[in-house]
Amino acid sequence: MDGVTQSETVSDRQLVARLQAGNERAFDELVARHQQRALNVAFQLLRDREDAMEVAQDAFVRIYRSIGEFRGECEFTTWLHQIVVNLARNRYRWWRRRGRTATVSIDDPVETANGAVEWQVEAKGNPPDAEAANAEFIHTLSEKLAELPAKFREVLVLRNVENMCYDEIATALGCSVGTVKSRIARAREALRESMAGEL
Amino acid sequence: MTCSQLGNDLSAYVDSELSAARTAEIEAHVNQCPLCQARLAELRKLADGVAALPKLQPQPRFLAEVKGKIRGSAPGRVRLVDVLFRPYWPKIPIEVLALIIVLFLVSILPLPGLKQSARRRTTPAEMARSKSYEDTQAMTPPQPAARTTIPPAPPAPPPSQLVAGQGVALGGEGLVSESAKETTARSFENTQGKTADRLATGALAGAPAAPTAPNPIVVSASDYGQAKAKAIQIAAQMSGNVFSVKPAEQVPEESSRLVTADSSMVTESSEGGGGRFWVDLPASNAERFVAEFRQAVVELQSGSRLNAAQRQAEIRAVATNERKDQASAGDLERGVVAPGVSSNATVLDQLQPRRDEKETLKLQQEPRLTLEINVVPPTNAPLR
Repeated sequence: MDGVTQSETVSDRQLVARLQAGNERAFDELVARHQQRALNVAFQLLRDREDAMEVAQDAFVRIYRSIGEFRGECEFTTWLHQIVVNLARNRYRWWRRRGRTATVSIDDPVETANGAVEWQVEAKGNPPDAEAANAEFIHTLSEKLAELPAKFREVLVLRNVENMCYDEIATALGCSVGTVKSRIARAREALRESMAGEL
Repeated sequence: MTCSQLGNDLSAYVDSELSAARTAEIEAHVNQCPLCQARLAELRKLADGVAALPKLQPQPRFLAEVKGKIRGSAPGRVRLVDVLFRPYWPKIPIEVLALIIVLFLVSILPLPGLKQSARRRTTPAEMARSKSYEDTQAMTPPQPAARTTIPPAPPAPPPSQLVAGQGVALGGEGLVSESAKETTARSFENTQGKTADRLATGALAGAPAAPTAPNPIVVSASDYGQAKAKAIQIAAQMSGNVFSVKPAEQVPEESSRLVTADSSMVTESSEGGGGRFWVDLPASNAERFVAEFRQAVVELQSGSRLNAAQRQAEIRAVATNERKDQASAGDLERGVVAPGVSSNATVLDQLQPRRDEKETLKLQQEPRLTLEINVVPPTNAPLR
């Protein structure tokens, strides 16, 4: 049994408290537990593997450095998402100033320059025929999602990728629940229109 | 309920974010509306599709890199080339522009090594002066007469003008003072250029005719010899030399155009009781010389009959850039003029007192000033 599984018995709040008390292993546990969450949110927002890696790592660096300021007013994951989204926003603002958009498709080879497999796309548990049937739809959806305004992408990713409720999304994004509800509805409508031939 | 009344609630219904009552209303409408049923199916498919987007597995070194960043030692993450040049836009254009500006500024700023050569390109007069300076710097054989003088003084102005202090070219105070200040205040290099310019444009050459002297020095004929002796004495105390011949022959060839034809050799004369001599001394002493000479003349004339043969000493300053470093300190101390003086030039006196060698050398390095002392024909004007 690995360490992550053992640590499931300890809540995030307890780990945060231990880290605030100076227990470095608690930080290791938090990273191990939530690194994929941070990485996936960053990747879905940025559509760039290297940038997603940078953002996810920087999010944990920020958490480590500001753990003393975390008062437990929201879930640790909400705080993590908030940091990831803010860092991702900084990153695509940085892109926008330089006229760059997301450049990497999720279908691109996941290899580094020296040929090593750097990333692995998680294999879903669906049957091969279902994967094949959905492959084109997912690919198109991914592209259309990347074309949406960032504020629409954020709410859709947090809702459907991270399965966060509206309250948590509102906390993470610093807006009202009504705004979250409205943005999600508008984002889906925009996506539905752009995917009209695929639905 | 109509379709339009659903608003954003159909999407929220997909996410189970509605109240039980609102959920019941939505379901009641959707059950009887084929359009909303189709729309709801599409929204669910989109939500499921977003949830099914491929995910990335984190790398095994993820935690190690996070800790490396925390320690500030993440290797290879921040490279100098990235800091300097990335992003290429706008860093590269800005850096190229900055480089061009710096090169332009360097090319136009008067840097020490470039200043003199830049000046040499400006005017022929500056070229002549610069060459003279370079000659002296190169320690060429002694050329003590490498000086530039001005054309002879014009005829003396009417007595009334002398008395009134108007329209007289004398009064050396104003002129000498101004020239001396200008000469000493600036560096030798600047003096070169400025003086050469003024000479070339006639600014100094035309000075004798300028009505700027309010306080002429007047010397009676009988006192002229004594006044001259006083001048020699005073000049000697100030590392200066008195010449009875205008030191025109010493003008370097390239500067000779600054000397008019009639200034080649002007000997001391007594026709009409007038006379003229030149005092060459460090510029910093010029003002003091004029003051002391004026005082000496006043003292001389205190017991003389001024109304018999009045003489007016007209002092004009001729700024020169000559440096008498051709003559050694020893030569000066011995009162010997360094070789190279024109054979026509007569050194009246070299009452060079012994000085500390360092001080002498310092004076030698100073810009020189040549004062022209003219004794003009007698006038009947009352004297002060």
